[in-house]
Amino acid sequence: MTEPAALTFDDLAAESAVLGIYRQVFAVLAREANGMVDDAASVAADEAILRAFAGAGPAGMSVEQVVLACAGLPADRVRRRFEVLRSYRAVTRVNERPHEMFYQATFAPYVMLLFLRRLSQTGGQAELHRMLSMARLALDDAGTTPAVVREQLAEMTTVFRLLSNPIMQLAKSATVESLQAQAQPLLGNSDLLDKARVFHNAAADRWPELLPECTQLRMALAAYRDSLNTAAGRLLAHAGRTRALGLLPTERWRTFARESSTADLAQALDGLLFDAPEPLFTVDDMLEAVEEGLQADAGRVPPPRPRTDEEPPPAEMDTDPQLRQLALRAEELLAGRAEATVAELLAEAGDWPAGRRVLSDLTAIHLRDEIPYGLTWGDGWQVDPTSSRTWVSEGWFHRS
Amino acid sequence: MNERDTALWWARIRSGGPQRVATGGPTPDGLRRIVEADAQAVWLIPDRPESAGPAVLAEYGVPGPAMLDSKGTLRVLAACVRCCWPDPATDPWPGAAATLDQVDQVLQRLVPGRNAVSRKALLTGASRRLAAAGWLLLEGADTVRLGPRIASYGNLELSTLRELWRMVPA
Amino acid sequence: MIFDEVLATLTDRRREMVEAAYALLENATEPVHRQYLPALGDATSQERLRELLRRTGRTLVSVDGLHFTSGFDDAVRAELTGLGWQPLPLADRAVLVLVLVYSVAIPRSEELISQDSWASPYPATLQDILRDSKVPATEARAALGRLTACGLLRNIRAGEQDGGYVPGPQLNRLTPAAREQLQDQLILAAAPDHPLAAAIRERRRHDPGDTR
Repeated sequence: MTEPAALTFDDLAAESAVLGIYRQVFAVLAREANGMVDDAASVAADEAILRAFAGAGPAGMSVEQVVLACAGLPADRVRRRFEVLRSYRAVTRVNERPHEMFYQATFAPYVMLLFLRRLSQTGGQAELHRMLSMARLALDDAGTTPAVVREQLAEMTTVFRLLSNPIMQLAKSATVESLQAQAQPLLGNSDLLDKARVFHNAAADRWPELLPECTQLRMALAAYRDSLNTAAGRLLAHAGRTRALGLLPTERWRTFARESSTADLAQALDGLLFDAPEPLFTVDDMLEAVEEGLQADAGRVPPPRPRTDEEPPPAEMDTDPQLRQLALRAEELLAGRAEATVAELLAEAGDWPAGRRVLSDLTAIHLRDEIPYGLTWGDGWQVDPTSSRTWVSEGWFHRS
Repeated sequence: MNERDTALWWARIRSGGPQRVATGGPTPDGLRRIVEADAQAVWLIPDRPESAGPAVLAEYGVPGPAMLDSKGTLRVLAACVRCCWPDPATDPWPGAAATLDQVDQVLQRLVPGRNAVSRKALLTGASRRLAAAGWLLLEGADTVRLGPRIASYGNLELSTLRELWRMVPA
Repeated sequence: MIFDEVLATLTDRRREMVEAAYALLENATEPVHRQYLPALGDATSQERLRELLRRTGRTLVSVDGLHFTSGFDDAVRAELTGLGWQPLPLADRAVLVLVLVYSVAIPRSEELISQDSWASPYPATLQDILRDSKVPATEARAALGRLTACGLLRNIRAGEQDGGYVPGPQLNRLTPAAREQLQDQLILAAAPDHPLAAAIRERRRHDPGDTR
């Protein structure tokens, strides 16, 4: 169970990793070397065979029926695997008599398959998590004896020693590439350590006589943490100035981004300094922008005519430049008329942007009671499909 | 003031824009003091020779930091220059405060085709951008002044700025 | 006057070269190719250029050996921030961190980026920033505008879905020490209990002269 979490990458790696786990797990059961399953297809065939038996009912199946039921798989492979299962007595005759054609399957091999699949999908460490949880629960059970706990402490000690030894070895002498491939996935394992520590503390509290075993476990845990930190330090040293970011799993980053407060996020920039905005432009750029604006303005709206011959605006307008502007604009729009239709004014404005401006000006002028102009709307529409304004509601702008 | 403190002041301005300080202290090397209208405070801005300033980028054809909607934003600045510089025979700094309504009136002629709403949006956005860069000072919700960066203009630039002032209808 | 002091003994031609290089390094949006910086090719000019930068709180930053820019002098940066100086508003810093996480850190974890820089073609989306974070959306929106204005972010308008924000050209101005500090602090903030965080604390402890 040394490289289990390296499994989750791409499919190819996953398949060989599944077999890797099976090989490791079966190693303790094998009678001799190289006698184990060596391709994923065989595992798939075993599973198909066991499923076929489950569906067959109490009568069992003959070899030919099994081959037929596993129609998706090559017949010779099914036969070969059937023979293997039979030789290990995972599949047995329904009745122990000569020429018995029908077989039945036992359930234990299927449970083993399920266990292995989970192990290969979630890694051996997930299994270790479960074992630690169960061991912790067992401590609360009145029926648990110190002997059982002593056994569990020793088992856990062994597991953590087996976990940490190869990581430390990798951290000290492997290439950075193989360290990355093998040790990096194990780095995010503080949960496991926490859980083991909880188990350790509870055991030490309840049975002080187990102190020696507890000490052993504590030392194994410390060694495991050291090996992870050493591996992390070496990876960090080779990561340059931004690459170490990739050593954290994506989920860690997402959780950080989603769950952190504004202040916690901002804190990551402590000690860093950035340039204030300093847009670059010259006075000539400003002059050019103004010139363009004025030219475009002159092209759209007739320039204000001299108003020397007209009566001076009321005195209070001098104190409010906006009001004076609006009055001037009103005179400009009326251009000597006492009244003009909105349609006329829009037609004089030319295009739609200028027309919109006329409308907004009319509204602004109308809303100011201090100046003597008003806007009255009628009920009719004037429709002109050839114009840029396909409709104009009937309205009059006038001196009031 | 020693070299270290001077470097710190330059870095403060680079990271935080022109800095307003009390009148009393020494002037860090290479910075200019721009005295506030009430003479109660000064602004510090970099005083680089023109040959080491932003103008060099144009000569080399290398792009410098741009502004969002630069034409529109520069027209807003021009309108502010028109409103906040009562007498173009004097220096534009410190100038006078103007209301955003007054600026809007002037701006109206510089941004034809925009209605009151879009003009208001331009005025609000641009004055914030210009204030962040030290070209304007926003005082309260609706009052604006020219920012201390305007004082960095040399004589040649000031004569262009005066031309611009005359060109913009009040 | 710093410029006169530092450049006094140079010939006019060299002085012009150094001043131009200073202007380009300090003001160009993107790092400048060394072809534009003849002052780097001459030992005396380069020394004066570095001195000019140092006196104004800056330092020369080599981006890839061919392109150069300028950034805050590490000692100056450490001293100012140590005094509590941080003009970038809180929300802006938070949003910048969000973009760095979505645009750089996550693609790195997914092994999509290998180059050792803060550049990334993978945008953080508006959804990431405005909806999936605890930064209030109106503040975050305003921060995006400000951060873009000073070149810390760049707005990418691709198709309907792919638009968003990536780190802007100003990130090139980080010195090697600042780049590393940014990496380290992101890891410390996101996973304080991770062995990497332990390794980072260890590295800092062994590097007491380091101002990080």
